[in-house]
Amino acid sequence: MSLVLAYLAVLGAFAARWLARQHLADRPWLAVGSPHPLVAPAATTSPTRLGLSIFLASAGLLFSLLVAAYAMRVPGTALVPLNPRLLWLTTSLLAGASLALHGARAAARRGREEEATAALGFASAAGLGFLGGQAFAWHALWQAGHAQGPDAAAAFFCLITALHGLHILAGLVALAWITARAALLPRPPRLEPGTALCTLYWDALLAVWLVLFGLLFRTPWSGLIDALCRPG
Amino acid sequence: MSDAITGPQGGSPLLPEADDLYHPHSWWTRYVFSQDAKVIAIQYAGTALAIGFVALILSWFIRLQLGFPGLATFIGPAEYYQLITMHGMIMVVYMLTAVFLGGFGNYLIPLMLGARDMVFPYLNMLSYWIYLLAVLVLVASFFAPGGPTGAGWTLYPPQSILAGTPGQEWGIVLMLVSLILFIAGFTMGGVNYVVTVLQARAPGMTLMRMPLTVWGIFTATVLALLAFPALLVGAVMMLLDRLLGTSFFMPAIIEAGQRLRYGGGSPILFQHLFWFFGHPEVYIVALPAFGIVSDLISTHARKNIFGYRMMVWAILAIGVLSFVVWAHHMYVSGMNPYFGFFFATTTLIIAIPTAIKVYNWVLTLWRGDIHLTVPMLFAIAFIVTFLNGGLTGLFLGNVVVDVPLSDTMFVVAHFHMVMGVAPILVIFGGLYHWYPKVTGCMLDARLGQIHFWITFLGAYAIFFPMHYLGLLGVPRRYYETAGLGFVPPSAETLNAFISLVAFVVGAAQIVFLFNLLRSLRHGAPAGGNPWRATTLEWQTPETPPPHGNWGPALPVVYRWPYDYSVPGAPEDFVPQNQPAPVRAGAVP
Repeated sequence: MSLVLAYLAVLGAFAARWLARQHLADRPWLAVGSPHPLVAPAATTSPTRLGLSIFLASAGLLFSLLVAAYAMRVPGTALVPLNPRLLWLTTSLLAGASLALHGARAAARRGREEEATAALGFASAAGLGFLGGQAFAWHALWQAGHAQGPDAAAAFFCLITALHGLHILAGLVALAWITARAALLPRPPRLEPGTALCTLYWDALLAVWLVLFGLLFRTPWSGLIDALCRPG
Repeated sequence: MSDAITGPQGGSPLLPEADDLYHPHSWWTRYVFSQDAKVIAIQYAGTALAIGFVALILSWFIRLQLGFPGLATFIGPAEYYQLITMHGMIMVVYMLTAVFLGGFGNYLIPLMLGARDMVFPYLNMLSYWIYLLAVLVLVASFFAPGGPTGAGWTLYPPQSILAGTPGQEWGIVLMLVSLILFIAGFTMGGVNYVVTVLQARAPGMTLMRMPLTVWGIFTATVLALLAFPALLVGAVMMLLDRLLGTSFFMPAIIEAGQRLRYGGGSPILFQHLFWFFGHPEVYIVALPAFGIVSDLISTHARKNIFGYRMMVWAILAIGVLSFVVWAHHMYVSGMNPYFGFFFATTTLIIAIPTAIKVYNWVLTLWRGDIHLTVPMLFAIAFIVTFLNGGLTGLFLGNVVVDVPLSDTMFVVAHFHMVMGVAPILVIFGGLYHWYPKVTGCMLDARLGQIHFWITFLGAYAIFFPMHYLGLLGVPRRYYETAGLGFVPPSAETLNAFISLVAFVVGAAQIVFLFNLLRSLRHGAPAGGNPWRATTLEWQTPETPPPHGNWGPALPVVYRWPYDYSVPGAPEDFVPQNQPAPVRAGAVP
């Protein structure tokens, strides 16, 4: 559970930094009258972005718990009985989707909506490719009978990729919604806000996947994840 | 005269103005698929109280068996385990959590903060319907082949999914699916509550001017968003163990001479996941209760809350510490003794901010103008009961004392006092307090007092002797104790007494239900602010508040929420949205 506690500590640090600016040492019983302008200042973060960030923080803990459970249940020497080459391909597709979304966001910010729509289409295709690849890996494990038995590494692979895939699927639905609105509505809304949210979401899911990939397979960063998950 | 801001530039840019709000167009969208947080609150609270009454009836059957073994022939060992499992899970998750966060949270957060609604109303509506689906799936398990699961409310594997445990076929599956749905629904609501508190406060409503009720609900929601993922992970993994034959939690098992397909799993892993959720869950229920009690006491004692800043800091400290005490539920699981020492220490530390709160409540009451209204009676009863349950918690938090008391009725008595009776007293107090705002009518005070005294004294008559049973060594989860050499016959007499009282206390809740329904039609008109309270929900232009809460003008906040008995003020309370200085020369 050390990774979980470390994750919570990071969240706690963010919360503490924010709370430190909230005048928690004020004596409100003395401060009659409005200490702040009556018109609230414009918020720096949109409510949707804040809501998404809070959801991602919660989802991040979900994956941290899965990683901790993996570390408690699966011996360090056990490996998922699968050739990781396919997973490297899917990882690059996910990274490609994330990059495309950054491109889409930059284009949307500059008002180049067509370029942004094309980048969104590429991101959607890459996301679908990622899911297809993961499903193929799943299928291979299932056919070999590893996923349904006591092989913990294989079972964890299926569980973790399924939960991560569900989040990716939700991201694809959001991407499809934004793209369809841009393409079909006579007076489409601006692409930038929705694209910015998708970018944040996909970046987070890419980061989660990189941790999971390093946990399930031997990658250059697996040593760091092992050090965090299996201290001592 | 209250000041107010009008026009689109007047409010916070994040507060939905009246024009931006979704407006219902039909009876269905106004009262059924409503996006108004107040309607959703009533839906949440109604569903949670309904399922809570089911759990209450289940507890009658449990007491029938314990007090008068053999009398109810339809309760065998399997049915007994199903009863205790469903009673526990329903009360903790589907009733208490839902009432505090879904019910009180939805009603009070926008109103107390001066917002028109939650920030994401559609998501809010979806949250309730998924919760209702979760409840229905859970209820469906009563009618499934084999009945509901009898695994105990902690659902510990491996026994929870093995043959021989009641509900092994359908019950456990439906329970796990229901929990997954509940968490999905809660997450939608939870994100909403947090964003609303952070971004939709009325102008002038700084964090340090928020009522403690909002602080409690806000912090509990953050805890829930961080604790429920652990239950979700545990539920999904157990579901896969049950349905697909994976071995996340299942060790190698030989059953009736046959080696099962499982192997290598870790039951302790589930315990860690469960209690990583389970202990913060205590505070997910307790923190809103703390907040509500603070507001009830201050209002009905006509006195500002003692140590507001300390109360806020204590809520935050409890929230943080609640994540590092989970393994005190696992002292007898065979864990490393050093871990036991660590968790015993953190458990003792969390008692400090909790004790601060209790002291501050008592000091708020000290020399206050105490009005023994029904909400106040429940609030005072909570303080006593929570203190009681907290003190027995110190016994159980200590490893050497916990080991002999583990799995005895002492544990049952402790957690019912601290997590059952105490928060339910607050729920009743809150309902009596805010019912006039919700309906515009007062609840009948005489019926309320009858309800209070039977519930309060009855709860003590039930759970005080139960501690003694635990000290005698009477084990929990036993279908029958007759014939056990280490249980004296006097324990059976005491069990019969406890059961009789439990029937009476359960029946007294009908008085409450009757009062709720009768007062809708025959209750005295409440007016807008019958308790002469300071917080914003009592300052709405209309009672009950309409859709959008505030009419054309949003409120502006000028002061903290506890200006009671201010010297020189014309009345003994000053609402939060009253701008004028209380008197010449008053501190500005």
